[in-house]
Amino acid sequence: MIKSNSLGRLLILIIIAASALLLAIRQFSFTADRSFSSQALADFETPTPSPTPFSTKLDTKMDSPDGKLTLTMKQVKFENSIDYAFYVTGEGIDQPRLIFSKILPDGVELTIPYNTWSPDNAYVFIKEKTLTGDNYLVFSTSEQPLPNNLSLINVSALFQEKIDQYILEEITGWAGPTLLIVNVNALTVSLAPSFWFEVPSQTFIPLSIRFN
Amino acid sequence: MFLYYSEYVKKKRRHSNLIIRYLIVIFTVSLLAAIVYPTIISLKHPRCANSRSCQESLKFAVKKDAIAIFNNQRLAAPNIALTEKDTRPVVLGTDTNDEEKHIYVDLTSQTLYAFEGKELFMQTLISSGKWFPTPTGDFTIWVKLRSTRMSGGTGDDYYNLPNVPYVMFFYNQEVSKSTGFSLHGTYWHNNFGHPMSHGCVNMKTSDVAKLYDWANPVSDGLTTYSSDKNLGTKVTIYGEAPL
Repeated sequence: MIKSNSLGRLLILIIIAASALLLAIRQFSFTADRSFSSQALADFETPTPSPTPFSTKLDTKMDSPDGKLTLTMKQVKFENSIDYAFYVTGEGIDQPRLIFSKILPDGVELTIPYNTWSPDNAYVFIKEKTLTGDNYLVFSTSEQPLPNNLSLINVSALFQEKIDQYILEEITGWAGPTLLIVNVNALTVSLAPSFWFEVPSQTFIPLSIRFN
Repeated sequence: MFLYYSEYVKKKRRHSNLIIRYLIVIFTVSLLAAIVYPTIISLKHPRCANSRSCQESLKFAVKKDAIAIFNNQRLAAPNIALTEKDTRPVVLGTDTNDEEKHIYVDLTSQTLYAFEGKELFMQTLISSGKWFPTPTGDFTIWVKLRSTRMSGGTGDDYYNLPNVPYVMFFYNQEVSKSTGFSLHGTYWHNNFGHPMSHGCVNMKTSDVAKLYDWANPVSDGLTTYSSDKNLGTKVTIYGEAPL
């Protein structure tokens, strides 16, 4: 009788322990499932913070005249905008050096002109085509910033600010290591003599001839 | 007797007037000749492309850590790093190609084309004469120099350019060898596609290095003259530069 009582108690204890174990296992697995589910739900309910790129265009590259350095333009196209990034690579540069990046809406584009590099490879200029006109932007290719600690010089904006009787038509290239050739139109005459833009001093030098 | 004397005086005056007239005519003709003749000569035979260094610039020259002057700016002339390839001797017949090579320079579009037979080897933008026109016509490369110095101009236009790389001088019957017109590399400006030179054909150094290796006479050291066994590549320059 005693034996059967002990056996019954033992059985009850085993059942209670097994039930507790099952409950514990169930509780553990339920927590994991709930955690996963809440994550999945969050994915559906909240918008993705970064947009998905539509396409990546092929890189545009321009070598320096001595062939030692390369300026690369990378473009990633989104639904209504393009993400641009400009890198310098080549001799003496271990990692591609990012010199400029910008997200622009459709209708505005950045390009690398053929004569982008200064003759000594210290600067590059790029062209920004906007709906209202072109901007020419100058950058330092080294880790040293431009004079006055600037990251870029917008030559077009400076020209508009400093020279009011002419309209900047085009920047064709470099007449020297620090001299950009600026072709302009006079307000009254279509063709006017060119200017030089001296990068370190950020000044425009009027010339007596035009560089066509 | 008096009549005789007065007639003698009149005759003498007429004679001296005649001499003065002759002198005036001779002076005028000489003056015209002095102005017109050099103009005709210079049109027919262009002056040297680099007025100060025409003799010197036809020779190989390298200077270490040199300073160049162009457009009133001082800049460091890149040092010329000579490699084994620059000085290697060439065995003609093994390094040469039988296909006819021809360089065309279109001044209107400021573009150079290099053909080997019908195959396009190179197409690139150049800068032709701004301060002095690049001559047009059919030319032949008569000497290749790995490097030289070029200088000329006066005042604001003065330039002195040591270590001009990959120079290929060309000539024809009208434009003699001593005029010093050439295709060469450029380290002092980067405005290709637009006239910028004193008569030569300026090219990107990375482009002209390839052209120099490709063009004949086949390089046989730092200075290579064309010869009957090592003919120079033909160069045709045409069009009108957008000045």
